[in-house]
Amino acid sequence: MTVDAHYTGPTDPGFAHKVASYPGAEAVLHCMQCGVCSGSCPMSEFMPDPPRRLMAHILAGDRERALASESLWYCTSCFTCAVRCPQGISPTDVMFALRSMAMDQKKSLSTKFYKAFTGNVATYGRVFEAGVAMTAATHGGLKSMLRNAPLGLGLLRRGRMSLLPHRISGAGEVAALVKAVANRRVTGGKA
Amino acid sequence: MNFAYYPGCSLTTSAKDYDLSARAVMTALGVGLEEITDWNCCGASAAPSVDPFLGVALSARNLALAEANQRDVAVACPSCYTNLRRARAAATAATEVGMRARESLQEGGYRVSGESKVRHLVDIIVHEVGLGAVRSRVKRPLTGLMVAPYYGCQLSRPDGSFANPEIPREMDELLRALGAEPVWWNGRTKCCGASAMLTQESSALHLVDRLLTNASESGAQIIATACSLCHMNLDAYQGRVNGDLGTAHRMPVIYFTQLMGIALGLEPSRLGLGKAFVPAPVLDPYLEGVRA
Repeated sequence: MTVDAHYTGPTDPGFAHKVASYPGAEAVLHCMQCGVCSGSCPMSEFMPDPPRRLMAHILAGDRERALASESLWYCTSCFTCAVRCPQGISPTDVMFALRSMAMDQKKSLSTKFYKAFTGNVATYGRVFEAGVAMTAATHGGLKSMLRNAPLGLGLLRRGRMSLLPHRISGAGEVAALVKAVANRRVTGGKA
Repeated sequence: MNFAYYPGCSLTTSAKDYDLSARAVMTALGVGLEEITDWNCCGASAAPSVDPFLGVALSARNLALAEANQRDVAVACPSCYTNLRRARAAATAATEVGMRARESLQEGGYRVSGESKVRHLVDIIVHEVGLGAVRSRVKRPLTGLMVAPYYGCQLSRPDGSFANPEIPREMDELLRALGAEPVWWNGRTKCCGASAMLTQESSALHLVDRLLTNASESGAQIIATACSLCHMNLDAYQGRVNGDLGTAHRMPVIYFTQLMGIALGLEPSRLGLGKAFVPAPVLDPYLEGVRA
């Protein structure tokens, strides 16, 4: 099966099965390439590879192309594709699975943001909104900081921003849970 | 009627107005909200991006805390709502994935039985309190107010929610019970870009622009939302949409609980009004005599 002009053959024949081992992504093998996901996706028009094409990469075992695609980082988890897929697949969850596998492959604003967010939760038990917003706001350097400053000050003036993180008393329990999941991820060897 | 209340992180900071008005309205409706002690962040869309099993585990801890008190969970934020109910399904599923999720939960000392159901505030108000009871408590009907009910994404999606994923009607009916006029508009379940506003800004700004245009072209004077992130993108980023895309939107955005509070005649100071970026003069007639 030729999925696009540059298809070079499967790099990982078991890749679709790996994707299917993630919560919610179990049905990925049922994809019949109808394109309802791409037609429903609010971000399709901005993506280099709309969801249907990503699904094709997965089914073809083209692990590298699937994980390298910028499209993974456009998904807003709106789940429109998931409720419309006639095959019962949740492409949103497939996106989560791909992101998870691609997370350590490169550094971008998206990977930085998701890691900062999750790092917050592991440290404090809750997300520190001002902190993760700063991660994004400072990513583009001074220009982006200046652009975002009025928004931050506006939130602060309205009493909608906390300047210090809130640590829950069970933060240690949450950290242990994060660790338990991470350990399983390595020893499970599925990802 | 008592619930274990899960506010979620944004309601403690950027969406304080949602939290204030939600508590005030639920109290007025006779619904008890007992905040889950020491709840943790659900991980939003970030935790499942790092590891989908982490997304399940974080919400499972909150579910386990609610189950210990034998209460159903009441949630305000649709993202938390979706994560909680997806975690409940995953952690109790008789599948390989479910087993793997349970293993890491057990290691952390948690067990989810699925006894506590996960309910969104809109669901509780419409289906438990009932629209008749709401209507009978309205002191200041929002007559003539044209409101765009904005469901966004995760209130009705993925499936398994209380509402129809394509054409939800609950907020429309609720607004009508308050005396307001819900407008029919295409944007009702379309995405605002969510956290992509921070990571894929220009795309997200386009999504917001289309929603604002569609709402105003449909005759709405104000957009009512049940989501803190939708509120942030449509309201706080409206100025940026105007600046970057050369538009002139002036569309106020309000939490549905704030509108309810006004209609129920609650003290405006308890509703967190005035914390939005875009002013809402259209509400002035309904606040006359109440506002100090």
